[in-house]
Amino acid sequence: MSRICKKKPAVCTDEPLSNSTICQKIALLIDILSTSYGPTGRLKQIHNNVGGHVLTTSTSTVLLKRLELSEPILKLISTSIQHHTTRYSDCGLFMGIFTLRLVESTQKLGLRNVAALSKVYMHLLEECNLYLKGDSCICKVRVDFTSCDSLVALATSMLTSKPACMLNSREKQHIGSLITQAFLYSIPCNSTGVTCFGRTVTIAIESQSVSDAAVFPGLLVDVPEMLQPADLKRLGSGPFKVVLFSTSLAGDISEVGDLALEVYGGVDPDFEVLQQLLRLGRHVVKNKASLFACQKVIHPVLQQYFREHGVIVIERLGLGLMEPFEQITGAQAVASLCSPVPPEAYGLIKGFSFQSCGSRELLQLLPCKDFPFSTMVLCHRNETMLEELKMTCQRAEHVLRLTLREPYALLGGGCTETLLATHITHMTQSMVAKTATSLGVSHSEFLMAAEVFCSSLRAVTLSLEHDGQDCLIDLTYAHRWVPDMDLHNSVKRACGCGLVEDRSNLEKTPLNTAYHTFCPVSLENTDNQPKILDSFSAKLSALNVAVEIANLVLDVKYIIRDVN
Amino acid sequence: MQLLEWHSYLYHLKINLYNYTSFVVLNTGAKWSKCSHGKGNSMHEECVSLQQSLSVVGVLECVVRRCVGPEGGSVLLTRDTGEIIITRHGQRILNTLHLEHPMARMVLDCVSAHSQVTADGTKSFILLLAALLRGIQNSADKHGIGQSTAPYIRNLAHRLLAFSYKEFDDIITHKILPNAYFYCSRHGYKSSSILDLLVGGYIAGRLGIGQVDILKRVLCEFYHKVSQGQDAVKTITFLHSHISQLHTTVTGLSIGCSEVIEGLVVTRDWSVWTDPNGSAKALIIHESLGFCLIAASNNISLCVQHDWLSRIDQALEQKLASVLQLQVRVLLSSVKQPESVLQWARLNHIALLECVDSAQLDLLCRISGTETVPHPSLQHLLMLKFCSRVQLGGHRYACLGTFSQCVPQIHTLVLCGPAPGLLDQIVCVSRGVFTLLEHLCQSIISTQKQLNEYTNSETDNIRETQENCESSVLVSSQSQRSDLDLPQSFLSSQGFWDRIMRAGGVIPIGGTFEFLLHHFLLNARNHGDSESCRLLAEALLCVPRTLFSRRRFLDAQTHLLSELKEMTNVQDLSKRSELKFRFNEGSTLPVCLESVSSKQQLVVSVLQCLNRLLCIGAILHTRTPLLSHPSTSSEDEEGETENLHLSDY
Repeated sequence: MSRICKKKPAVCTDEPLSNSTICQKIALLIDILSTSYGPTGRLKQIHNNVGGHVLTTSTSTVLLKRLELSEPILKLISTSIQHHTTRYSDCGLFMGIFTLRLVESTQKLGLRNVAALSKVYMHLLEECNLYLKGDSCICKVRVDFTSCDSLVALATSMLTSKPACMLNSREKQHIGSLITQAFLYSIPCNSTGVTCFGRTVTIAIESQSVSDAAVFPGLLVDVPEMLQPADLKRLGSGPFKVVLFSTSLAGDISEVGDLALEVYGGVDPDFEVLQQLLRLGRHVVKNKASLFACQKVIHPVLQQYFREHGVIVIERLGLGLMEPFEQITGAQAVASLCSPVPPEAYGLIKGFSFQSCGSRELLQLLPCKDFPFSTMVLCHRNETMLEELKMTCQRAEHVLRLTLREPYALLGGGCTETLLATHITHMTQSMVAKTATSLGVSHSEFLMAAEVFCSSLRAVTLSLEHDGQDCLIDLTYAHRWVPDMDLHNSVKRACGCGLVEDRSNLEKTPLNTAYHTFCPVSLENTDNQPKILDSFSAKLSALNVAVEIANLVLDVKYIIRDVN
Repeated sequence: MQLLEWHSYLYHLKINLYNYTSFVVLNTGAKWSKCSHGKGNSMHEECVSLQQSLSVVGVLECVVRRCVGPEGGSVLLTRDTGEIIITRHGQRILNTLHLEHPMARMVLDCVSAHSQVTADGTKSFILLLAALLRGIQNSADKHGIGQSTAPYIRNLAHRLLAFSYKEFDDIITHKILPNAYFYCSRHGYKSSSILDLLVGGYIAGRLGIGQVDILKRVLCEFYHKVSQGQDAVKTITFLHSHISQLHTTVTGLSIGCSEVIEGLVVTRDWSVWTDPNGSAKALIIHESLGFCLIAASNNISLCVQHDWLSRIDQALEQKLASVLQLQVRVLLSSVKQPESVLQWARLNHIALLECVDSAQLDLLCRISGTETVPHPSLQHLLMLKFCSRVQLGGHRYACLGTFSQCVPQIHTLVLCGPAPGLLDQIVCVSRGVFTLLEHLCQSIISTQKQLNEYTNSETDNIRETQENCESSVLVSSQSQRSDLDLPQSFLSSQGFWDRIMRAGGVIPIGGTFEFLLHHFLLNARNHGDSESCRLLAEALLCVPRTLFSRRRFLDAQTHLLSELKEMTNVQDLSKRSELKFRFNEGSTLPVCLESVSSKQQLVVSVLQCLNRLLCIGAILHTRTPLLSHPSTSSEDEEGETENLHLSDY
């Protein structure tokens, strides 16, 4: 019998944001996130105090999932970031740093009327949205689908910003082009009506060089036991008939569950089932199927029977591969042992071939129709890096897909943030009086809020730098630059995103110092393509969610903690 | 005399005990912890009761005060499950406090009872209650120096309650409602925009900055799409009772992505999907079609015959064949179906959706007329307008469109938010909006009926006093106008909002109601006892006082009162048609609206709660479970003296 306990009263914390311990924790989280940001971000090792698996990463998703945050406010921000990254696969760190900076700087102002500032933030966010979505925006580029340059740039930028993947520039290029290739494979062509994206299945192989990674059309599965290349030759040329089963063919009576069966003499259920399986096998062989696949286990006797009759057997396909298998073969999963396989349930494939990727032998199933389906085989030197690489590739493909909805990309390398901050400062300067009155806030409040907003944006750019270097901004195009250390370098230098080339009369100033406001000029007559690109949809959503969360957090007057 | 009072006191105590079982705390040695009234007890101890309730309510007020109104902040709650929620929802905040004090819990119960009806005003409830208690204490202090104040206080509480039953209604119907209408028409409110403003007013105090406009837009769109300009009352009732089935949430997106989708979204993906291309016949089943032993008891013995496998299959095939005969294209099941049914569905090109929430299935059945299949039990047939797959935030969901014979067109409200804890508030508010509208609807319908009866009887009588005369003219002209409307059973959307405005069902937000009521309470000399009027009037002002800063509060009050004066002058002098013309000219920025009926309900609920609070003389701490034998305990109590030990029985 359970005891009924009296509930303890809840614990209240008043004005949580002015509490010094909470502020310290916020500062700590900012530190963790901003040191992980960007291509030179510092890796974080996470392990618990009793040993076990050590995780090395710098991506927000992995990092935040493992971090046990004690403060409810931080937990809330962390969950929001994680939910954002599951939707958009990118810009998690950007969102985290921006939200926390906004909260921290607003709190530091020490104003009583935080609601007024929130109003201004919402207004500025609206401005940002208008600007970024508008035609006059100079920090976005149109993704050109006639060439794959911008797609590769997008994919490569994502790889660059994940230093835990441990790729050198050649490998980055290689993987980046593979991702683009897989993405292009997954787009259905010549189809009418409602179309669906194809899929990319990723197979990860450890302790192989990254350059062994490749993308194959069709589906790759592990080579079944005892299948020799000679068996494939014997089959001749396709197309081949395929049968797919979704129930277990192991011969056990699984549907009964955990009940004790009392069996009367004369009937051996196991034997009965096996006989039924063999009947099924004979039927399949008679219908000239060449490939017999099953989601679960197949009885060894049945397997042997099939092999004798030259049917290739694939068992333990797993639930994850069922849908792809059904799609590329057109077979329908059969669930019943008793009735003969209906003719509509048979599928077709064009052919088989052996593929060897490093140490692993794989059987490639080629689809009959031009089906948008491919398998990406990724290789890396060890497990941790491989894990990170696999995740990054999947997310990069998702980011590429997002470009189909909104065919834009933003300039990467911190240039978008500096441009946006400069634009907003310029905008607000020109119309303080009007906007402040329409929002119902005072002049000074409006200016302060705008300053906090822009400096938080700049803070994101500043956290790209981890080696104690300065971050510069030019006063014409408002792009981000790193200072020239090597004066005798003959190579032409470019800005963060690689769009603007350096020239001697370009005036630059450190980003974290005050500079006069100006309207950023768009670069004309240039053949340069930006080398670093960020996802447009992801960053736009991150910006929106960040401001929304920051406002909500700033609005919190109490924390009521249930301590039961 | 003494005995009589003692009995009535016990009676009240009993009511409290039986209504609020949770309130008696199981505590150490049970005894009368604080005894009021009677031999040997000084006045000092009697006052403790009032003081105590004041301090309890004061604490609640402190928590709530900062979250009131659009300028107020929100509260971050952590649940014992680790869930984190940001909210401004008054009741939720109070509930999470896990209050221990029995009086606080009683107040909380009153608050929840109130907010269940109106979904509004929990925070104002606490504020008003605290203000009333303070007022009562002040007047008690003035009233009796050196004598017992307890009877006085109790008397006052009774008078206030009696006031709320009788005179208060009169003031609302004859003073507030007409003025609300005049105020609205004076400021050029259009009946078409009432919904927007009402929803806006409700949301403003409940969501963060920037979220309000978005949610208002989405909710209004939702309402309009569902009602399609048809019967408003029906739509509101429908939405109110089915909102939990008609919304779905998506996390990870900003709230701006919220939208309204046609059809009913089921948060499951089709197990077997074939597009029926247009309308399709659907079958609803509530049990597994497959062979199932689990349904039987745990101990069974099976006699396995040699053809048992095929027999099971045959049984299933028969069932499926009978389904096929019905020529359905879509199968909706509330439970999981075996693999073989899935295979069958694939082969026969039937779309299959498993594990559908049965509440949603019921809703589908209710909306589109269903026929029940005679032979297998628990199956229903219905026609679907369309079936589709929708992609919502990374999940594929099924979407079902219905042909509805009756008014509401099924739509689903898709609410987006960055994280589950933030979505919670949005969902809460959306639900509350429809509760509020429902309450408004019901009250309008009931007052309309009352008014009709009232005017019918009134016109026969000779008008007695000047004031009555004025009000009845107003009322009768109102009811005549409404009689011109369509019959009661059917009201178009436009007509409904028009009627609400004419009946004075809505009033601008930001203390207008409180200022008006304050004014009328103080000036209505002939209405009941002046003391309770004064008390209530003074207390009412606490709400706008919390909403505004001191200077803005005075500004608002003087502004409103001067306007009121002007209005009454104009009312006396000229006819309405001219008035309207003049009022529309001076239209300014529209202020959001709130419903008068929920405000009225609020005041009544507060007065009831107050009465309960003040009638408590003592708190009993017992170890026995309360609801056991009410009859025996009452007998015991009656015979006992003050130092009664309840732990004995």
